[in-house]
Amino acid sequence: MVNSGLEVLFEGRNFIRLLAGLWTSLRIALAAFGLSAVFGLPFGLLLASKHRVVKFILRAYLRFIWIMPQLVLLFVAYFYASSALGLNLSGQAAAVIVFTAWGAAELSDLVRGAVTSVPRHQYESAQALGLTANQVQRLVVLPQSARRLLPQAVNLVTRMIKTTSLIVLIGVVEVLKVAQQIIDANRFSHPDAALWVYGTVFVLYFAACYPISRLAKHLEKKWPN
Amino acid sequence: MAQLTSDNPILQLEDVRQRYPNGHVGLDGVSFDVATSEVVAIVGPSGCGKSTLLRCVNGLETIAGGSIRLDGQVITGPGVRWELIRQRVGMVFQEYELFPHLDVLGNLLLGPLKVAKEERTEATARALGLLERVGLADRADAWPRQLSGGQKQRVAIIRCLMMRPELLLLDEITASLDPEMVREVLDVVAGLAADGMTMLIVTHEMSFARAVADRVLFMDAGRVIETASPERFFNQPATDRARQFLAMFRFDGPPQRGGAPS
Ligand SMILES: Nc1ncnc2c1ncn2[C@@H]1O[C@H](COP(=O)(O)OP(=O)(O)O)[C@@H](O)[C@H]1O
Ligand SMILES: [Mg+2]
Repeated sequence: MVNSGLEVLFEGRNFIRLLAGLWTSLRIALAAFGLSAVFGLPFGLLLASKHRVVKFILRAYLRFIWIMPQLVLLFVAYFYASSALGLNLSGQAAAVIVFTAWGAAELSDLVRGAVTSVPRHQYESAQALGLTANQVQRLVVLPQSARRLLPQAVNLVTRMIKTTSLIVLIGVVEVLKVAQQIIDANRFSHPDAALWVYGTVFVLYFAACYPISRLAKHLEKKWPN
Repeated sequence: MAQLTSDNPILQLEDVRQRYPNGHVGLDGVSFDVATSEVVAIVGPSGCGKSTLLRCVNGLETIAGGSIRLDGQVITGPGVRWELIRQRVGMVFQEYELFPHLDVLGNLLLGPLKVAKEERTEATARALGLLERVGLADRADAWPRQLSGGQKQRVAIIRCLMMRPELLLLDEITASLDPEMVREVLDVVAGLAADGMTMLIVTHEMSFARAVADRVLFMDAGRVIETASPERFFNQPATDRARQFLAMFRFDGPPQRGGAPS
């Protein structure tokens, strides 16, 4: 049988199952990104502000998140939370929590960078026109920061989608897990299925991430510097 | 030194002192008046406090002593609404500080629409008229990044004019420009002077200062140490310090000690 592996893909509901797995990954990434925005935007504005104590705490938080491998955070959230804290978190919930913690840290740093990258003379020339402090922020600083932030934030979405592949290790049945299940189930009938199934996973990730990274590129071009 | 006082001062500085947070004294007792329609050139070595002086006049720096009056009204007391004063005092900086997220027209309209609450059609007509006047009639829809340095500075100048200021502060507005673009910007300023705009101009373009200024203030170490007509100042400076300063702008022959102006 020449195309044996390819057949596996279209056997029964296998392809639909892969798509459903991909949807699980995307759903977790998007939910986490949405929540990251809720926390990351105010955190970032605070990091760019003059609140010393708040900044100190946030920086410690960022450093902690960056030092920890995401996998360790996932294990801690999933196993520690269920055993020690008695919370019975599902793998998906643990994943959303961890990716939110990570995404909020990443996003807040991007926000801080975007806000502080607006040069001082932009503030001053806006002030010199008679704009109030509030108007300077709203009409000059925020639009410029948003233009810097948006492409980077969109890139963060693709990074989060890619990193969801780790959650297979805390038992979430996402696209990679489905792929393994399909391969295992056909190990004897179709020993070369792995190539085709993983190839399909590759294409699925690409299909999900490529448009998003194109969008980021487009935004970068539309708003240079 | 005798203070030149004007009959009809629009701006009056009296013993203005300023100190930076790190303790550095920016202004060490500066007093002078500016009459309506007068053009005052401020010159002096780098770091002598010229920018600090202009920044104090529109509240970007806080003064530590003395007073500044605009049209007789003290603008340096407690509780001054600087956003109101700044509508009357325009300032153009050395950096090309157009707002990069707005096109040329957007830059020109920001102040009139958001601050002066002017009507859009009327403000647009005025903006187009000013663009025409500085030779940029066809650039209303351009983005700042598509303009040359000289074009950006011309837009920055008329962005100030959109607010119909009573007084214009120009801080070395040609210092970051390529030499071939200096002239087009200075021409605009000379045109404003001819129209009777009151201006405080910090510049290192000595021949320009000589041509457009009614009066020259020479500063050193946070003080005004010489005030004279351009004719007087450039031909017979009264102080040694001014003579040394002016000597830096002359290049007579073989290299000697001393350097170019910074
Ligand atoms: N933000 C600041 N903090 C401390 N010192 C400053 C600051 N800005 C300027 N200075 C100092 O004040 C002096 C006057 O500066 P400035 O007014 O910019 O000089 P000029 O415009 O004549 O070159 C300089 O010695 C400069 O180093
Ligand atoms: Mg200066």
